[in-house]
Amino acid sequence: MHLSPFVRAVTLCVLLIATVQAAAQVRPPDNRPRNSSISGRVTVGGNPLQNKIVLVTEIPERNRQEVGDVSFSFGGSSAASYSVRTDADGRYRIIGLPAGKYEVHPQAGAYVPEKKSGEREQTVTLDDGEAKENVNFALVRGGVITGRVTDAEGHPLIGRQVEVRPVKEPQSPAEGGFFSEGAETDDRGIYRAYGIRAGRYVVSTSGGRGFQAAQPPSKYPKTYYHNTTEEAQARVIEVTEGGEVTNVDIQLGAARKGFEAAGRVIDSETGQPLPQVSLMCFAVGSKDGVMTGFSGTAKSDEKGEFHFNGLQPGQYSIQMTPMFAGLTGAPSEHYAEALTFEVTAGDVGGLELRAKRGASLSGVAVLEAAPDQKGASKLGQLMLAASVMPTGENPGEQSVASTMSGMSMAKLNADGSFRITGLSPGKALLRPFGIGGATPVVKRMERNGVEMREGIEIKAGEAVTGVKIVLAYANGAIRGQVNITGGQLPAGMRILATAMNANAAPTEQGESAEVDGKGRFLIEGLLDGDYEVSAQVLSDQEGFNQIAPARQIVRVANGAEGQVTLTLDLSKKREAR
Amino acid sequence: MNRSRILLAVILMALGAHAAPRVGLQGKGYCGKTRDLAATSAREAACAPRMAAFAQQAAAEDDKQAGRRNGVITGRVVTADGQPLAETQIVAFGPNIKLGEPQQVATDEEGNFKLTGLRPGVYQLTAMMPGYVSPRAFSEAPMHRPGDNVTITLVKGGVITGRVMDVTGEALVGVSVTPRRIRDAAGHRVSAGDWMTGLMHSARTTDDRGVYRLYGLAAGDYVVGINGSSAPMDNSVSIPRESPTFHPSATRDTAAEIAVREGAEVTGIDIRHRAERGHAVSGALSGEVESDAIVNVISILLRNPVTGQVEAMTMALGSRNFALYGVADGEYELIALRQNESDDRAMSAPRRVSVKGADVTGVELKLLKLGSIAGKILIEKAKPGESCPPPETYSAQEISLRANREDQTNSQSLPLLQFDLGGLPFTQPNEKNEFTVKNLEAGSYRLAADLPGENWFVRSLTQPATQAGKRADAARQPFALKQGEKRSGIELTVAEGAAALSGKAIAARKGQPLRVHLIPADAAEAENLLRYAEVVAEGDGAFAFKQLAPGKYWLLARPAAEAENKLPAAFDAAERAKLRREAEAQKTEVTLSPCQRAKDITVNADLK
Repeated sequence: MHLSPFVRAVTLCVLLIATVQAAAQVRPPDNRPRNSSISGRVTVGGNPLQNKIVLVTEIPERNRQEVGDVSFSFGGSSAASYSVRTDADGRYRIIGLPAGKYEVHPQAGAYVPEKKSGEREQTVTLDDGEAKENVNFALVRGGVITGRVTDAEGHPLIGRQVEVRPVKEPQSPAEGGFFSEGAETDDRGIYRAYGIRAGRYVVSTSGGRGFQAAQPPSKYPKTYYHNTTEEAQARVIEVTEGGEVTNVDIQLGAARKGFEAAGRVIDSETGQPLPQVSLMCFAVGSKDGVMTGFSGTAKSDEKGEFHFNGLQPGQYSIQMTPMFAGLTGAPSEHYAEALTFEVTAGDVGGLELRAKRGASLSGVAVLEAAPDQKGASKLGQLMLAASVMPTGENPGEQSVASTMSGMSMAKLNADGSFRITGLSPGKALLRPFGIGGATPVVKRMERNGVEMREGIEIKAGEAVTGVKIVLAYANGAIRGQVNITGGQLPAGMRILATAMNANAAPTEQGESAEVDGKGRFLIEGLLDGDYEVSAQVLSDQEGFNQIAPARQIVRVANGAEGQVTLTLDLSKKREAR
Repeated sequence: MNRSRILLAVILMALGAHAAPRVGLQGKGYCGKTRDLAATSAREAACAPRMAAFAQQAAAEDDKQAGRRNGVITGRVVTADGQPLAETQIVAFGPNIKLGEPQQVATDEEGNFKLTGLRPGVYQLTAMMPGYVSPRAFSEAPMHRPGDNVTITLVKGGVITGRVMDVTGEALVGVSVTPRRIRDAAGHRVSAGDWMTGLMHSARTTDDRGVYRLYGLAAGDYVVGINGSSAPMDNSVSIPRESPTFHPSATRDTAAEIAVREGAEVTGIDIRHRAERGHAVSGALSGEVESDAIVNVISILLRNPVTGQVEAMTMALGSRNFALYGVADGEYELIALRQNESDDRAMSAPRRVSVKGADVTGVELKLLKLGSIAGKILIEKAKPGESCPPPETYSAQEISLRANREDQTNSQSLPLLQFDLGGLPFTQPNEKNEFTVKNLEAGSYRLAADLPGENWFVRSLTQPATQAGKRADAARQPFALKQGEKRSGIELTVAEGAAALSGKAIAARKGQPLRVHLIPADAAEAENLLRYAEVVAEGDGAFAFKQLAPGKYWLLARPAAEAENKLPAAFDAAERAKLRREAEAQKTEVTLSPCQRAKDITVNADLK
């Protein structure tokens, strides 16, 4: 009997993503009428593309989790998807769709949109009973770039990522930069990137292996075709429509030797070594300190000593990683600020991560739940996470050191009691999370009976007791319509609707939802209360970034849906600050 | 959804998406003094490659002890011809490794690696290098302990390549092609865990010409197919709700098998897509769906009732309903398995499902609690002055225990728990020397202990007797566990003063593989199964036994049978009696005193 490391790694990944996705899993039965349809045609150079699958996937209203610019979706199992093949004339029609938002995606990887601005998939919003026609895709055969990646001795490099990036053209600033195609080398070192739009490209690899848990940084310098480490010297490859460029071979230079960073974790007060501390090492930018890569994990031994290997010259940051401790074992009592160091041309020794005994928060969580709450989590199935903001810092400017050292979590006991340890001083906010059931939100935070709306102030090493967290299910929602006056919004410009509790602390960001193509939105996950709902154009374009948001107060009561219609006047400018 | 945001923030931090401040000291390439270099070392010496140094150090016993104290396992990864493999990922597994604290390192240019910060205990190591495979099955990975120096050999994997076409003969682009190994190189069926690993490790997508190339394949027999109802693990094109097509254009039952040899390439394995609509198998979960743990993942597996191979799977997260799509007509078994972060599992009984031209709905899978075997390890110290040299200072926490299932009703069938998502196949005792082997299905099990070092042997394995206060032998018969039964009060006594024995077995016919049996010669020990041992001799006849109880033994060499998947001969009473008769007749006798290391013993295979 044995497990495989892959399975274990994937389990961890699934568990994490599952946690993120939990909300999408508990869904009411779908009783919506299925009266809508989508149809269109897929062509290649004007001729029908037959027998290709067109995939239509519903974008559930609740299924998007956004953090900054990153949105996660996984597997597609929770989202309904429909598929059909194109007929001899390249036509497809999918019927029996409920009203909603859909992504239409022809599965034709070797082809690319004919127009430069064309998208590989299109988003369609359907009303009940609507038959959306002419969702057409005009494609052409994409180009191919193929070649071989070898090391300095000519041995094939296996399973390495090759990047194919469009050259930044001065006349079209939108192209280049973000968009890139890639391919992976096989056991012969050969890669084949296909479905490439006609254009000018540079091809490069740094010998990286794609995403894998705790993957160390590559030991090879990033090398461009044809064998140069300077992007400016890279040979530009012209790809024509349906054309194939071969022998785009890259030989990576000698592997750079990795260095070791060694040191120990000590208690900053007693000077005693701290064993069994989990650490992570990140590469950081030398100027701005922004993390640029993940360099590995390590654990301090019985003498508090730790080692990180294979580090290339550069700036690094070592941090304590307490976040999982509360889930699988005893949470750490300590926290530490990140330790930044530089590797130049040799091993680095004598590093010292000075950990401080952290403050603790203890108390009890109570759950306000209607007895008929479906899929309610038991208190014992919830984790409570504390994030501490150092005094004097704003949420937007929170540094990683304070985010990492300011995060700690613990499992709630069955009676709701909890104790979170290893906290840095500052203002603590508590949030529950769990999976496998609907998860409540914090309705009220108290310390010794006094409400702490903006968080609980904790001093260095303080044992804060008497904390009470009232949890409730945020079943309420606001459904709305945004009407536009005073002009027309250019295609592709987005509108965001946000609901902010009227009593919210200034640190809160409210709940948001994107307004669809028909001006509709649904903001979910709201507790009862009065909300200021605003609709705002998301744009950094001159003329559109100063449009005043439309605002209105809406009441959510008894976990029901509030309704609102907002009028966004494009001619009205935001008042100057 | 704030809770999600926190978790996401954590993930993003792990991926390095935030800004880092610049605090702390600047290392500036200073090489400080470290514990494993002499204090007199010059600063340059501290900067010299240290990895080469620790390969030598580890050879010395002093360093092994230092490694044990400091929780270090060192090692090297090489190819079959001895070349070092750089950039190979080494992952350690063990009861002490917690979720979210992966113990993973990469080898350096000389193929060396060093795992640090390991708590005392047992670990298994896996090496991952694209294009290479371990010639050994995961199930045979040896146990390691801090202080060990490990050499891992990887071999070049095999290749299967071909083209995927649709019904009209046009290339299918971007579809995932999955190899499924059905037998290993020796012809044994592979476990579902190995199958899953292969699935996730080796699946590749077709290019714009429909060409695929599967590489890094372990030697064995494969079927190769596209599509299936398992959730895709990558961004490949999904062909929803169609049943899988296997090479050449077959269902799973009629799929052609492909033999892959170590490092060899098999070409022309084309697949013509059948475009056959599969059916849905759906139902509900009941019973032990929830647990006190935070993360409950329930896997629903669809397997072949004859071979036990998993054909498809899905996961239910916080849902009591499940559905598998694209299932081809045929006979199946459905099983649900619950797992969580505290490794507290539940499992349903296999449910027969027959798919014949229509969807199957309303299948109820009731999750049941699993059984366990619990007890204590007792350590018997040697009398003062009688302990064996060199002194060893292992703790009971470095003993690993596993329960081996003995009653495979169908020898073809694989125990489901081999389909392992994050659990561990072995356990180790806690600080009080108590152990629990958990997550056991109903069945018969034998408890096996893996002891560290050379000086310990298993003296006895006992359980509470029916008569109060008495204890009975628990080694002769396997533990027969009922569904959900929790057996406790087991005592495993480990004593110091173990003997060892090595020598050479001489075959009647040159080159004949031999199996060497060790049989207690003392009639009083005739039924003590802990005194029996057997081992397959090396090619030159060399064999070795260690961790033996002192006493008088017979040695017996027999031709090793072809099918080696059997249980030890001594487990069966009749076989045991036969062993004793043959050994007594042959009279190759050896008496082992405490701590004795008997060498160069010769045993002749029976000439009959």
